[in-house]
Amino acid sequence: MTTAALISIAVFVAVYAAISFEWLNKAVAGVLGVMALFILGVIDEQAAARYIDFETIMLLVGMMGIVAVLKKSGFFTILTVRIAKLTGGQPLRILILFCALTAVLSAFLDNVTTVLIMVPIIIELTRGMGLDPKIYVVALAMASNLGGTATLIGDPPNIIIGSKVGLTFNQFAIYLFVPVVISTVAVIAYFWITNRESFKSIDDNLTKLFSVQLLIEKIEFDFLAVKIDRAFLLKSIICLGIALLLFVTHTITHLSPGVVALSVAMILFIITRMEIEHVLLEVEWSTLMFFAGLFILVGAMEEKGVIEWVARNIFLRAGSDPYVMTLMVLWVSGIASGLIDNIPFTITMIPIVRMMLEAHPIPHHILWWALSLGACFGGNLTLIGASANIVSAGILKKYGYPISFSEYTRKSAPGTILSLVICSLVLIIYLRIFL
Amino acid sequence: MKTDQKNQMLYHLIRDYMYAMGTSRTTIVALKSYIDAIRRLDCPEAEFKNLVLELNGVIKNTEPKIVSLAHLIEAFEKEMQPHFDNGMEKTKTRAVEILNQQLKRFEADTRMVTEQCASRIEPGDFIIASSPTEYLSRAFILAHATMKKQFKVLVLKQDFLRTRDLVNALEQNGIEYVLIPQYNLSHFLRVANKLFIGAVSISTDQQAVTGFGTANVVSICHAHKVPVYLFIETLKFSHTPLLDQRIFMEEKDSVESDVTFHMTTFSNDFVNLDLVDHLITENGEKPKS
Repeated sequence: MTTAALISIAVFVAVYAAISFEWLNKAVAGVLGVMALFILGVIDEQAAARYIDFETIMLLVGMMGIVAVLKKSGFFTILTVRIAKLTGGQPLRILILFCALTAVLSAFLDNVTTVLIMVPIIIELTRGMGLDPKIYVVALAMASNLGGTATLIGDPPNIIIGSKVGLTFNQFAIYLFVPVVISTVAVIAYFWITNRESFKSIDDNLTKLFSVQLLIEKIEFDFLAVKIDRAFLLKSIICLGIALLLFVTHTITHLSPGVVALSVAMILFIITRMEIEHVLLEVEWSTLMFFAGLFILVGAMEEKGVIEWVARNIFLRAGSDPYVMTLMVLWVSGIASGLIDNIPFTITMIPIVRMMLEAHPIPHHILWWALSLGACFGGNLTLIGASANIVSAGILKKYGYPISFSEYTRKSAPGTILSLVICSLVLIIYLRIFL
Repeated sequence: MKTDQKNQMLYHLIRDYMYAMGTSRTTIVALKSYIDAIRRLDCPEAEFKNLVLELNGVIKNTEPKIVSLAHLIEAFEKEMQPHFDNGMEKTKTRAVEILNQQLKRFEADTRMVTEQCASRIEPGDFIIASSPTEYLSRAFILAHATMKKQFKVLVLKQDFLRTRDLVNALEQNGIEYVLIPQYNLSHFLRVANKLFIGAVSISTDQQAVTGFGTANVVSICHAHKVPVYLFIETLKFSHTPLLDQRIFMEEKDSVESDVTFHMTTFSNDFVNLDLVDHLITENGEKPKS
């Protein structure tokens, strides 16, 4: 290996360590790593610009803008309060309906936004009923990571895979819908079976029934505080619908998801007359900086032959059996994503998987689905596995229910293993059908 | 979870609701919740009576005591006595009927207090509003939209939750208003000519239990000869003195800038009726005695 390759590895490992141990802000660590590569002469600015996947960045900016407007419209809050009413305060119904709604919303919005909307309401509802909100919040965070896996735009690893590999919205939906639905149902069932006492019906307790009715009224009062502008709400929903329609009809329109998201976001800003400065505050610039930095770091390693070396000496040694290759990518991604951030992991794995496929092709992108499922589902393994988990734990703490790393992992790890086992079975079935 | 803890949680919930929406609205929502709860209840017939009595006990002992609700529940309990052994479905149906009657009765009282309140508004008035009582908002709308009176409201802001609905109502109905922090009231004492307040209850020793902050406003207005109008349903008149109104007291530490403050707070204020110029119920002005 050349000196430049060794420097790029050292910088990459240092950035990974800084992110994993939270020594530095993710964006700062990523950009600092890129600056180190510039200063040490490993790459130049022109090469760095080439490594950035602007399709991913456009899709992220566009979706963040659309979500910012939708959030302002009060759409999600109305939806969540309606669901809270629909549960009638039945603990099991709360678990099922909230997890289902979270999974569906996460399929189209980013997971952090989804938990930011859902978690406060579920905490208010459960604590008011004297239930332990922690079980519900962990289940909700898991549902958001599971649901986000179902579509191209649901989770950053999918956005990256879709954009880098050129997979469409429909392909994601077709291949990942089944494992996502089965895994979500299995995880909800797991929480129910292991905490049956907490999900007992309250229909035989008059005082609890009374409290629940009052509680739901109060939640409605507290959370529907903002005056709803119906025209604004309608414009937002129509634009989201158009964006989804254009994602689905990609094969006809040939418009890339990034172009669709950003165009719809701009149209939405114009027709809702939102102050652009206000919307721009909602865009997570640090996440975009983080993405750009990582694209450059991985691009540099790829150019210097590091990725090829890793692929040949680690992954390609596993042999040419498609079953072994698929399950290895799934489980390695699953476990790694539970311990380290799944965004840098996915960016690193893409060239490796590409090389594996060049050496031993597997039809129907099954290896990419394994990477997507592993990277997204694996985020559920521990508290630090996904941003949605960290945000949910933060909200729990704010409400007076701090949850430690080990407590979170005890609750989430069995469900994650279960979901990865389900994915293994589904992928084996795919291989049986398509090989 | 122990029963006492559960009750405390419910009391806290009721306090929160009352704080934001006022006592009358809380009473109405509580009765509706009771009706829904009975409809959904699925228990052995033998347990029904005990469950009802248990919940009644909890409702009658909230902190603070919601006298209007307690009175309605007492009446419900009395009327239910002969019906507890009529078979589950019949008993439930009867319970719902009685609670609905109580609800209608209270809603009618509240409507009449609203009308009384609206009739006290004169063209050109500048009225200070100091509580989130729902009928105050309704009375302003009634006076403005139906009675076509032109007046102005001075809204004393305590916090967002308490002020939000009143301001929204005034805004939506085009009623002129000025919003100020409660502590800036002194700047308007020369121009404001009436203070409208509501109350949780009136005790036998002539004290009105009100939302917190109201006692200060009443005192200032009284000192500056701004007439104080207290609007209240007769059902909120208690049969017991102030000490039995179970005003909730809490002592807790709060930390700000590394300094720990040991703070004692009360859920409600109380106002001596001597400071109130007009005591108005659904039946009109009531002499203070």
